[in-house]
Amino acid sequence: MDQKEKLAKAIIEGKMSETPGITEEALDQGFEPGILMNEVLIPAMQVVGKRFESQQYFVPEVLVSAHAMQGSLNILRPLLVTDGIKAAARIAVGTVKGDIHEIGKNIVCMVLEGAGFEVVDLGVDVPPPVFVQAADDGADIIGMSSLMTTSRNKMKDTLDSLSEAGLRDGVKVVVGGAAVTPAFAETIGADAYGRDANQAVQIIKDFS
Amino acid sequence: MAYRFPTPVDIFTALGRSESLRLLHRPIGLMMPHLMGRMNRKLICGVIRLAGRRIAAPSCGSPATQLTNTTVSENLRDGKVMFKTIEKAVTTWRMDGDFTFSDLTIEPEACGCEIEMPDNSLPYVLTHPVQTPEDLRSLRVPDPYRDGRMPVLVECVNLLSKRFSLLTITGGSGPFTLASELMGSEKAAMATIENPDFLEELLEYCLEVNLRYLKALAKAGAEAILLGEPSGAILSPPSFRRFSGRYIKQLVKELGRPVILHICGNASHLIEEICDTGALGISVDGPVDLVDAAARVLPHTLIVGNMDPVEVFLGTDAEGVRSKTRDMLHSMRDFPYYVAASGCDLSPITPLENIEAFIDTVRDYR
Repeated sequence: MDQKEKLAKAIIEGKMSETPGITEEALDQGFEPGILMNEVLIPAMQVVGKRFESQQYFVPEVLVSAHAMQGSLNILRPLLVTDGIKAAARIAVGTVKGDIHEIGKNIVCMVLEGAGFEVVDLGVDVPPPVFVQAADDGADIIGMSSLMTTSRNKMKDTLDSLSEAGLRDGVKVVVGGAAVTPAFAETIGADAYGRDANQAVQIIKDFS
Repeated sequence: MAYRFPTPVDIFTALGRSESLRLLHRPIGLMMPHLMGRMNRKLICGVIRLAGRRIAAPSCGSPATQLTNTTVSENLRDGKVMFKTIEKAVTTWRMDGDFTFSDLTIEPEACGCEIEMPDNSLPYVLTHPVQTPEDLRSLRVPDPYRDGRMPVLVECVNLLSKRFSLLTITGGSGPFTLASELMGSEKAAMATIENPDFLEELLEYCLEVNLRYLKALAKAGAEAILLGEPSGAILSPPSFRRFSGRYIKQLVKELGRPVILHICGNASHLIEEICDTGALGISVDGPVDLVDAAARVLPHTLIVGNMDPVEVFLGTDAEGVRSKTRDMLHSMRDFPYYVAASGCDLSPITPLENIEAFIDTVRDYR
């Protein structure tokens, strides 16, 4: 098994403590950071996503895999920057005000980073002005998560605030989370609904 | 609507709600079972079988605040205020049981989490104090009569069980959900794989907290406990068994009161695991296929659910609620131990006529 396969296996199996070491070894053996990213990290997370869809994996397994991937990415990212490879887009992601569910949002952040996007994690319990500020600071895409039916209307408030600030046309808004349905996303006027992290990556790639 | 003869449960609950027909300081109602000893699985299943119609149990604490012109947080801070609100809801809507508000921040707060309490929605946890083994060792088991807002619920249950002879149900947080609040949900989820020993030690503590609190509520008069284990929904079946089910099983055994386990979100993959805890009933949220779940539960297990609190209770009018409720009741007609309820807590701004429409439709359905 070469270093690439070893790294992919460690990510898929969620070996958080091993991925940084394997990544260093792969770089020492001369693998390009861009190659590792495109040919290992991204496909490995796709495998994890498929296992999640088929209920082979559940949230905890996806989380450790995402963290394992991030351990590798933390080493690769500075090298990608020096190689002049620019992030495809800047995405600001947060769980809306009144909701403190972090897991889904964190997985989306990590998977988007792994797919080569620049991610600004706004955290949980995020009020509309913070999303607006992120858009003002140059985010191309806003991602909002809500797992509670009581808090999901804050998504609409954020969209309204973006319009009031005159920033709505400059950003794409993607929403997701257990409390959100495609129909709801359409009703509030979001640009897209993402069922899970992999779908979010696909949607955002399609934007650009 | 055509006149319907009252069913046995109509008579029982009318007596249970009445203020005039009292014996030994409480209404007659379900006095016999109360005197015969505490409610158990057999008795509750028996009552449901002989009820003559479906039982309605929407989770309507928050919207009931509209009846008393109070805010949700006023109710969650004062047992007398909560009691007044529930009393008003039970008498106005002629409810089949009396249920306290469901607030899953009570145990975390008493254990040291900071919480945010908005005026008009349920509170949520802000800080997660247990990060190291030292943190864990410094925890103590809260006193339900003194710590945090635990006494609020104890007082409310006490007042309710004196005022009504209905099934008094109150809620608590499940052990894995409490652990997730104490550690942070992502850390707890990862600990199931990365640090199971630490998590299990924390869960032992959580079980002790749950038991002490729920025993106090049982002593105050709660006949059944609705145990909320929303964080359990993210676990695989084997993980659920190890980090949640095993502790709930012990809780059910030691508590000596029927437990109905509620899991928010999609718990379809956990139906068998939930039954294995020995819970009297399983309460499921909107995303779960009710008929499929009902076909998978053990005999003599209640299945409770699952009208969507947002799409239906908030999103349609009374006629919409009536038609959706009839559809739900019809699809569940073959299951004797079905209890019609909302899938999760109703929003405080749910139109009252929608709640009434739900309860009336359930009451009139044959």
